[in-house]
Amino acid sequence: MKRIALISSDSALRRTVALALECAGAEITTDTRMEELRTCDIVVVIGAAAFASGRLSVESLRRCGEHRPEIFVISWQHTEQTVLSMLECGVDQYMTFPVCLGRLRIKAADK
Amino acid sequence: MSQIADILLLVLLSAASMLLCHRAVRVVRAVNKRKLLAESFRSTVDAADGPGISILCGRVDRRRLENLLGTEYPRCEVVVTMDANYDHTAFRAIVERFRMARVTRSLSHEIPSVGIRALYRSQDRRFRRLILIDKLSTTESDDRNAAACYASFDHLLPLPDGCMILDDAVERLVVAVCEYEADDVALIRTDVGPATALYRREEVVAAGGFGSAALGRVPRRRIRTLHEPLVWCPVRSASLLAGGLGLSPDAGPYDSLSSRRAVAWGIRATVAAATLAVLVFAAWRGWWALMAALFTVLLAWSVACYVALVAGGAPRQLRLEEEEPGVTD
Amino acid sequence: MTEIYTIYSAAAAMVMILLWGDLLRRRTAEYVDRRHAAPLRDRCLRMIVQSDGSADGALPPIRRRSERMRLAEVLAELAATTDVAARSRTDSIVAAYGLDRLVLRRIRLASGYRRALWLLRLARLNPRPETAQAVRRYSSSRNRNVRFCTLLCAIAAEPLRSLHTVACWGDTLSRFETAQIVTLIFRGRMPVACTPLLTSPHDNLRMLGLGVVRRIGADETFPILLNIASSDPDRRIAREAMYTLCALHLPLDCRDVVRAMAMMPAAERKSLYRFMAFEGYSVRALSELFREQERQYFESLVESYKCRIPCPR
Repeated sequence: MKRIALISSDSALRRTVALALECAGAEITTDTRMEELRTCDIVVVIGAAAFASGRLSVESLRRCGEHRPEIFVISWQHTEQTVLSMLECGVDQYMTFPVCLGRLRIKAADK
Repeated sequence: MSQIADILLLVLLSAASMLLCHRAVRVVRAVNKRKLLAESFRSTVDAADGPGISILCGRVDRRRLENLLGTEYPRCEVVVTMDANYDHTAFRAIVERFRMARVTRSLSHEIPSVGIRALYRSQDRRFRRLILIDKLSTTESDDRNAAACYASFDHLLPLPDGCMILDDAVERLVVAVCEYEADDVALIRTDVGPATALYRREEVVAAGGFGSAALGRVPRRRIRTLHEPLVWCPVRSASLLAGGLGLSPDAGPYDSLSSRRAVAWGIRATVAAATLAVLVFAAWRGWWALMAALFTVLLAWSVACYVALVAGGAPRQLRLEEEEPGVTD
Repeated sequence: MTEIYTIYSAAAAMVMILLWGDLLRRRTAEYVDRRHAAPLRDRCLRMIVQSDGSADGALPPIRRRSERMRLAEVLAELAATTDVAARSRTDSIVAAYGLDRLVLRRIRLASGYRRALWLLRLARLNPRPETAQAVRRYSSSRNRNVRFCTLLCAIAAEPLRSLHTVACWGDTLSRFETAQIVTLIFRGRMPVACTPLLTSPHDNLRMLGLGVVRRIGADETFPILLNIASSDPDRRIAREAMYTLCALHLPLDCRDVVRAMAMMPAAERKSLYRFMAFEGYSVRALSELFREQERQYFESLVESYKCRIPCPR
């Protein structure tokens, strides 16, 4: 069973995405301790601000030499600069709101 | 004669009470508006044609900078002015963490400012909204003028020292700018929480910079007031007292430490008890004018507490605990 | 005078009781929300998000009005953030629980910004034309947000007439309002074509057209944008057209742009230069536009984006 961590300061959105991913048979955790995040298969971050502010970085989430966990970002921002900056800093999937929950489930199941 | 004095006193007290009630009503309306905007601006945060806001601040630490850069609104930047010689450690920490590189700097004569040594921008695209200015530390106004020189956007938000920005403050300011665009508004300020104002850049330039007397003489018809807090200061001992007295939204319901909340409520209860005791004494002695005045004081204090507790708030922090000892959220 | 003082004191005391009572009510509501509304919200979310997507999926009974109101809130929120509220499913949930009638009642009882909030939520619940008709009377409200949310309801109820509705709206759309309607367009709620919007005689539709062009990067509208920038009677729209040209990184060294910029006040020109520098235009690309001092200003802006690379020894 996949282990997916959700990071968001918005509890309502976090709960919505968590319920959608539970349908895909994933185990959802909202524990944001770094050692817990590194043990997950996928980390879903809601909002680009966590990366854009330097609060979070791909290097801090992954151990040296590993490509786990996969990092998904779901954000409201559609601008090219934001998307490119997220992909450049190592995010694996960038999705925008309004998010297609079915597509999110499929992407999470595929990884 | 004493009757005229009584009537005058009653008129004054009534006017004061009505103003206080009007303030409470305005704050409640602002809270309701904030809820409405919270549901609508998330979907429009990406508007490419939205007004841009430059946040100007002085010395920052890591936590504060992450808070300032943590807004989702794309047309917002943070301009930090620091003295690299004086704050060497903090300056180098920012340069390294955000991959800042020194860029070419031409002297801008728009707003007079002295002591600018260097300008830094980030080489990392995700930190493109951060601008760092190395400047000899002089006065706060001069530091803000330096920041304004290199700000990219048309609206400037100088932050009080040590303050953090609330989650949706930038978006609320954007909506306010859009609302008042047709009215030739020079500045938008708030009367709840730490004093903050959003200035139109051309007003600052025309006045000769921050700290100039002309900027303090903007006509009232060109000022708009938001009755909601935009920034939040971490609780300090002095502001704890202010929070207890209801003069500040600090130590409000969102304060993370229950001990601080308890202290603030204790101060509130003490103030109320003391005033009530004097009031009862005045009523017992038949000092009706004093009783009415004390009721007005109590009403003012109640409105201040109401405003602080209803409108106040703290930024929602993304809680991420790191492994390094002593570095916690 | 004693009686007057006593009456005044009693009135002040009553106001204080009202204030503290309202504070207590808010705290209680927050407590109830944390304890009881969160599980209810979860239940509503599960019902919508984890359903099989079929419009005929069985819906559990919800009798209490407060629970149905919570369901309406959750559904409106999901409509804004996800695609889960596909039309047929939303319609079936709204019809099954009578959410539209419930929300209409709440709109009637509310006032000011709370009424606007419920109108916004109604607009997200795919209202029927009759429902939008029922709220049409709020289009003359004193509160601008109420008027605008009524417009959103009308657009949501009758998408095919939406452009006509926007054109007939009595106020001038602000940039934020334009962005909200553009968002509706890109969620497929409104049919749109750029050119008819840009050439429309209505100011609101031209603003909307500019927002759409910016969003999709429609370079082919370049001639129309030039025309608007240089000769639109509304200066605000002309200015927005200039910014749209810059946002699309279109060539600006032409007579129309020079003419448009000559009509701008100095402060607006400087603001535009900052935007151009931000968007990455070079000095040479805009050489036709500048007056002498402005060239130096623009050069200083462009230079400030360049890294200083020291010469290797």
